[in-house]
Amino acid sequence: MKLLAIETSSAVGSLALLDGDSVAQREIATPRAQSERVLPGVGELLDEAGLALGSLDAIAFGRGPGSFSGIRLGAAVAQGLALSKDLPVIPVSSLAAAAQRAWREHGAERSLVCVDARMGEVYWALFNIEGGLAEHDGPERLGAPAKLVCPPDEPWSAVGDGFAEYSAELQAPLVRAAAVFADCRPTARDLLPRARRDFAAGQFCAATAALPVYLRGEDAWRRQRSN
Amino acid sequence: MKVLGIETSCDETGVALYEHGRGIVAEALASQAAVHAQFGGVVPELASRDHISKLAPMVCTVLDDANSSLEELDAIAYTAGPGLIGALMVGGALAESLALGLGIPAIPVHHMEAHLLACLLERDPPEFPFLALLVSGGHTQLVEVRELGRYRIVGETLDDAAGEAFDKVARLLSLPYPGGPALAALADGGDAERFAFPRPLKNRGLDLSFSGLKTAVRLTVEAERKTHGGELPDSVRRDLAASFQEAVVDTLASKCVQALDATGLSRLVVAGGVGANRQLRATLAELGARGGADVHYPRPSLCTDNGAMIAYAGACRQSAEAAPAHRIIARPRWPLDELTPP
Repeated sequence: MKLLAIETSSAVGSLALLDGDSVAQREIATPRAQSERVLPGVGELLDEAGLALGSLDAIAFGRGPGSFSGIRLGAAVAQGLALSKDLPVIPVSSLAAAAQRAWREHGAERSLVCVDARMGEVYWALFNIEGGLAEHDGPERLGAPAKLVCPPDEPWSAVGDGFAEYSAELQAPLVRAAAVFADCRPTARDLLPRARRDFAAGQFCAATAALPVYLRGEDAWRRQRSN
Repeated sequence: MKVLGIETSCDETGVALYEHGRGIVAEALASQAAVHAQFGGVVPELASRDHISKLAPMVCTVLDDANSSLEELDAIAYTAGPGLIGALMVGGALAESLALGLGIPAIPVHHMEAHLLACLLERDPPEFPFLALLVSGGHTQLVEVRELGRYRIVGETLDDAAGEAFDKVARLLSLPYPGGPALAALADGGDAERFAFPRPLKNRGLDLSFSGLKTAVRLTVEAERKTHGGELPDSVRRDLAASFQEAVVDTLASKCVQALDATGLSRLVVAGGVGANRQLRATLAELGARGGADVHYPRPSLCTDNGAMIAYAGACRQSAEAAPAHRIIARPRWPLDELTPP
């Protein structure tokens, strides 16, 4: 299977190319560089692997939640590349990618992923590793850090920059966490396991339907305006 | 040669296909007025969200309507600025990644240059050189256009853009967003001489100013409210709208005359969203008829933001040797006179 993955939901973006069992990855250091470097990076990855874009099976992207402009950049690039070669797109949760990475790097089997959502809020979701894949254990949520609910029983890891940004508000969960990996951001490489599984299961969409998942809806701007 | 044009600089998503020898073959436009109306103005984040959900399907629709396909394209032009950064980024990212995949050049286009060139899409296009009045919600400029890429700004607003003044006065009169067209509609049938609003900087060079005019309208609105016990009668609102519109149009027209004089040019081109205003078009046409100038204005749909002008500007700037760099360009601020000929 040949997949290109794009993850730009956080301050550090990355690209990954899966070709059979080998994975090549590229990091894009800053948010500003993401828009400037993402397409040249795609070209370089393909060139180095000796692959043509049209030979890929699909394009995966981190659909969020995360930085709004970041996930839009990832979605637009996935759309454009896929549309040009009539490839399907696989949107993958950026929170799940962070849990996937925590397992790959630290062996975390159960992760509460919590990411800074600005405006005094965080995104969070709970994941279990099943068959080597981060699976949601409940929905993805957006809210004040105080609303974050600790997983009952079983040891779990605290994953994501939300735990660093709101370490005071999240003191209670942090004390109960078995381990803390606050700098564990989602990477493109960690989109691949889910993308592989989804592609094999026929779970993908047309390029024109590949959209970000923001979690924060229009209501936030309505509330902001009435304040 | 076929060039696809993509416009996402503010609150309209525009896509069009231009073909040498045939002109605009197909186009599509999606307005976000309904999205932003509830907020009384453009919310940048919501504009970006709307662009990304509509743009790619619109590209497919335009190509279908033109009986064409992505493989037939020779280049993709997109608005690279000026505009809202997040909105620009959506069009730039889609255009550049499509171009990378198709192995064709992407052409970053200056939004205001595209407005300047839009009149060349009409049947009886003006020849270079000409004077352009660029009037929109974000810009009010008088530009000496020597040739493609050679622009000199000879006058511009020192504060609000004309379209911005329309929107602000519309809000004073409790009109819904977008205010410009609503205000023009209200002015229809109003008495434009009832309120004597100032013509700012009328005899002082080629620069313009609209914030003093806006303040004068606000003070009059407050005084009239008092006189009528709080609510403005419809007739007063109509007359206020008409008098304000007259002041703006009068100011713009007299600056055009002065600028034609100062530059020695004999052709005047009107461009930008406010260029769709009927009163402005009528006044400038009259000025032309009196022998003041050869006046050109594109049809209203080419005055407001659209994909056709981007496709066309891209086609004008497309040169065979342009190497695709695949760098997404989004410049929120980008002075028109930084451009050079291709």
